[in-house]
Amino acid sequence: MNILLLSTGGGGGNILRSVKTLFHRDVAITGKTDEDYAKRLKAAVTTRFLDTNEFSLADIPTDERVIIGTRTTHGLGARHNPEVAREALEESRSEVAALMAQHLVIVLIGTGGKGTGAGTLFPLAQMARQQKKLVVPIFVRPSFERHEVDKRRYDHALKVAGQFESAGIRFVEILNDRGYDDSAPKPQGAVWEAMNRPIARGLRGLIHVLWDLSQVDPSDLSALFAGNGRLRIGFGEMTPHNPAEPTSEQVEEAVRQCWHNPYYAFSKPAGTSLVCIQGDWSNIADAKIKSRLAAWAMSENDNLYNPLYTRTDRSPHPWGVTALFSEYTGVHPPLSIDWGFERIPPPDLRQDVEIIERVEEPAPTSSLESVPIGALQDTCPEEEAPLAFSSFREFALAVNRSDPAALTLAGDAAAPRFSVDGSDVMKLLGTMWFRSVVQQLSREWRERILEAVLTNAAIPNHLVKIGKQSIHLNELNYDQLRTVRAQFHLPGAVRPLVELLVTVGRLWGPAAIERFSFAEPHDENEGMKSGGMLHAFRS
Amino acid sequence: MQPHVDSVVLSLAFVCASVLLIVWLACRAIDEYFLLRDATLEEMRRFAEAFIREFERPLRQPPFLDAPIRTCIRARPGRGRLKVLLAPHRGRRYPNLSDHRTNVMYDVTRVLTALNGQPFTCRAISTSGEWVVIAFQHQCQAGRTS
Repeated sequence: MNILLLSTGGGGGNILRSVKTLFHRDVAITGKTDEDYAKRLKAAVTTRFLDTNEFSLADIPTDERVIIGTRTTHGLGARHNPEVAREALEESRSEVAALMAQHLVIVLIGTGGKGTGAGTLFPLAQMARQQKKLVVPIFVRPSFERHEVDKRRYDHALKVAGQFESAGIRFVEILNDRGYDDSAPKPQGAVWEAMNRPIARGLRGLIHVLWDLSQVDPSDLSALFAGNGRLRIGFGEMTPHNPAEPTSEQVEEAVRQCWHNPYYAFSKPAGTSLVCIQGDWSNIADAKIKSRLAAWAMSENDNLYNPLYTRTDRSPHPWGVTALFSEYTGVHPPLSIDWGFERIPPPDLRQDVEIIERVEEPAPTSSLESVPIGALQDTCPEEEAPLAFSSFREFALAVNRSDPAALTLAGDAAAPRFSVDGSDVMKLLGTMWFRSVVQQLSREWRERILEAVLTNAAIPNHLVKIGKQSIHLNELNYDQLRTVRAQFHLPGAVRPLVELLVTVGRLWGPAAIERFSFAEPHDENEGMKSGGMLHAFRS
Repeated sequence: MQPHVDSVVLSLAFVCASVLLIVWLACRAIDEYFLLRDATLEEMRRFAEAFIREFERPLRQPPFLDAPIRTCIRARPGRGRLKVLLAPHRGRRYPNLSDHRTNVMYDVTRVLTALNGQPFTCRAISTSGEWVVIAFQHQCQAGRTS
């Protein structure tokens, strides 16, 4: 997934410089162990510095500068006037829109201090939303009590925050007021640097998650960013010594750092939240991290916290836990976001065939080009065609890494030469990366997989307690299943079944749930047997 | 003898009537004064509350949802004078005139603009200890007091 990190104005630019430094360091370190991964990571992230003042971008490479409104401002800045900045953005609207169109996720960084950031951050977020992008606005509210700005500009900054609220765009709001400590005075530059660091580290963690949709379910992201309210990024560092297993104290401290970030405006309980764990340690440590974070979140309200867990295995030090918490502001319909699946280039059969032919027969290219594709396929004896994938899992993994042969097969209606085992599919459905793979499969493939699941799984029709009511699983529709999963405590035997039904409903549509056959549970252990089969759905 | 008695009675009756009239008029005047005083006081209270509410609104933003300022009101309804006293709450630094005079003046103008139509004008902004004192004059009573 292409990510655009776009700063606006001087303050936003300073934060982006910190983020960029960390990111480049990450890419360099990753490149030493996995050059291909580092290259893809680097290619997925673009940094751009938008400003009205050319001089403030003197240290930025030319191709990363976005000077707006040169006719309005003559490249001399917005004269501390947000209105001038807004006019400048209007003047350069088409260029900025074209830049946004090339990316799926847009992280906007701006401060509400003077002109450019205060005047352009909200219009930029609106532009991104109009293009159905996933937008993460990061807004810094300046301090007038500490004389960073005067009260008039502070009030304008509040209006910007109000615009985000009323437009239903979730945003991160950072309070510069919180960067002052009368008991330990520091220079202004040091204070800003100290505040930029956690933002940059938090964003770094998010980049590692967001650039690869196999790490996170797009529909979960649509739900996470839906509605109004604020977001909070947290990062807690954890560097275990040898053996590489963090101690309980390290876990506790990292989770505390991640949860307690004093710089953010965040006044409601945490609702849906993205939790990303980075580190090469055991799943026991992961479980401790999740458990401690949930304990913090549920100390505020034990019903609303809905974590989405992801893991990035190849991110370099510093390791730890990054989280994006969202304020719970009610239940909102998921955002309509263009995830760009249709942009995945269709498999070019001609090219594939040519490559195979060139390897096997050193014939001149010109002669190949003159041969029709059908004729080429006919000339390939079927028994000589290599069996590309031995199992469905192997095939799914290949689709996930955009393997051309796998993509060709994924778009094909013909039956595969390997069997599609229902239990394999159900294990895969418990992973997040596989859910994005399903989106790339042809209608026939999707039907084939669903059939495999349906024939494999007879769901024990457990009674689910919802408040004072008891309802059988087969009486719940998709929306009710989602609510039950999110808001009610379910027994260990029932939760994986609900997770499976919700996942199938999400990927194949609510009608697919009705196709499941439900069986009466014979005894209490039946659920446990199914649970063993569905262990992938256990969080 | 009879005419003398009559004149005395008449005089007494006249005096009594006069006293009663004076008492009635005085009572009425006092009543009117207190009614007017209460009405002015109520008007001042409403204005002061609206002023404080609008003044502290931008300061009461998430996550600072507790009271950002301490307030006190002093009124002299007879003269149409009202003083709104503001001081920062614990842990806050605003309002104060020592380093935020311009911001306080901006805020007073902003609030008065927002409360457009109120019959009060700002006379002076001063300091009394930790308090910022904003003095207002009721416009209708300005002529009477000057």
